[in-house]
Amino acid sequence: MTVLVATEDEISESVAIRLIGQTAANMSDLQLVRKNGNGYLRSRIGTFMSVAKRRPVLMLTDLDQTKCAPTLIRKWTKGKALPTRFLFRVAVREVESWLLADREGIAKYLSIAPQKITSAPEEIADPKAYLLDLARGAPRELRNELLPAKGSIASQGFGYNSRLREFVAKDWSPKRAAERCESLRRALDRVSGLCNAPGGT
Amino acid sequence: MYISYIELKNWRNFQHAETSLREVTYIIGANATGKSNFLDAFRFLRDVTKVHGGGLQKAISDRGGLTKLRCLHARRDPEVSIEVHLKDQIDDPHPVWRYRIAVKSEGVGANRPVITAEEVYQRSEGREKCLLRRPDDEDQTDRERLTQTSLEQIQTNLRFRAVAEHFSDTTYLHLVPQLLKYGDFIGGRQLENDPFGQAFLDRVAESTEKVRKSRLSRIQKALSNAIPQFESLRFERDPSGHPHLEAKYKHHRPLAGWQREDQFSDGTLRLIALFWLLMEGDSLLLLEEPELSLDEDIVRQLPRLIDRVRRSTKRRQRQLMVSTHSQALLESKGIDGRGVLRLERVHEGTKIMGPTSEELDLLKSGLSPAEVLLAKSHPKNAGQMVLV
Repeated sequence: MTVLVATEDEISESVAIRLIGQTAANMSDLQLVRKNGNGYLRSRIGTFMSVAKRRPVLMLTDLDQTKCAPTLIRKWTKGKALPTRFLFRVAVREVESWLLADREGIAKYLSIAPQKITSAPEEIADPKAYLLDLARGAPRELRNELLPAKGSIASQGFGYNSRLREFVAKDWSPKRAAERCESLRRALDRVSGLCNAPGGT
Repeated sequence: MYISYIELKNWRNFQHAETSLREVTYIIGANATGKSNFLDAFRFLRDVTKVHGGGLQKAISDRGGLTKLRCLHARRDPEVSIEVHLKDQIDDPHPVWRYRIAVKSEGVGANRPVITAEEVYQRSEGREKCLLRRPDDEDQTDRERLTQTSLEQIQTNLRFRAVAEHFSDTTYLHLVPQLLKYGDFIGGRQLENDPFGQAFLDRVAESTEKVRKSRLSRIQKALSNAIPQFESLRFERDPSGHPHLEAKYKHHRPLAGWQREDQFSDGTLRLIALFWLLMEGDSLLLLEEPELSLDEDIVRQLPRLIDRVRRSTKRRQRQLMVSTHSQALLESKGIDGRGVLRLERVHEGTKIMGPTSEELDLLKSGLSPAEVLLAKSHPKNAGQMVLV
């Protein structure tokens, strides 16, 4: 069965793929849609909702500075009820928190001590900045890819997306991360539910 | 050395424009705003200093004469001038060299282009010294002298030969894969300095084996990042001695063997040439629209690949100026915002706009150059801009 996976950036997309990979159901066929930024997701939400009548849809976005996930969902859907197979998940506050929640995984990847990483990733106000700060302790080659060059005016290094995608695909453990991250735990539960939900093949 | 600053007067469509430059500078702007003309100012300096067949007169006549070169908006002041500053490190507070050349038509006889000013300044031990200021007394007595720059003559450029050499090593590339692949069939005439990359393979062949091996292996590494099936790259000569590049891909039948460059995709060829040039020397490299014939996903990775290849050279890295239209390329949030210049048409000619401090702030907080800067270079958004 084809699942539509709608995300706002490359890293969220890799995370969504891993979440689906955790379920036993045969959902190998993924239709990935993404244009950078959440504006695209918002503008297409009506279409995604009608797709969800026929096949599962997983949409993943960042909460960013919105107060809580239900507020964001209500705003986006304009109060309309979501179809049962439309899974709309919100990372608190950014997908980077979900990565940081796998403390052991990220510590190993960056070659830093796990104790340096908070055990409450959802409480970090700016998870990307937090992650970049941790990356300062990484070996030089990785650090050069994740962080902007010294003095350069850029928000991240050239390899930030590619390297973190690689981490998500190979080393990130969604299960371990879910133990410290409520929004991820719920997303993971619901993804398994989504695959087994009734209605069409 | 790096060219840290350029000022143009009456140069093609720039009536007056100045800008600072970075180690890697992207030049964006709608069609016909003068991206190629901007790059041409650096090619002009190269043509003036070229060892074979260079010189001021040739560089100007190759461009159709001074009347073609001069900005249409130049009315009262007919002088065309270029000034550049060179630094050892791009963030040094002062340039080591300043060079300025100004030219106008003689106004009599054959109306040759003559020098109205040529100046060289060098900074050492905290002080700037003037090494050349023309026209000088000799120029006044022998007007013929004004048809040649001091920069182009080895008898006169001794004290600033480093500048002349830096200019003459500039490389410009707008590789047209078909010209390289089918050169023998087309029988195409090759232009001086090979701007279209027809002789790229000869370039590869001319390097020593050690250098070639090391470069090809780094290119192979970068390419397998961009094209996952890409396995290996090697240099070969055919029985008649012609140089070739050969590549192997994973998905092919194991016995399928090596592919020659005429079977490479256009994109692969362009990437190979780009990476090779990035590793060749430490002078200025000018690239015209590197995104052409590349798949969008690879274009998106291009700034990262360029950065990696530049980092992989132990020696001094090349300065790079890239003209581009590509949204995907500028979506890279790793690009240093200070290195994106936007050309914009104003009522008289074109202006070069570096990012404002507000734009830099937006880039710092996570927006990409495509969002902040490219959108503004799009003509249809011109109206919107007023509101911002």
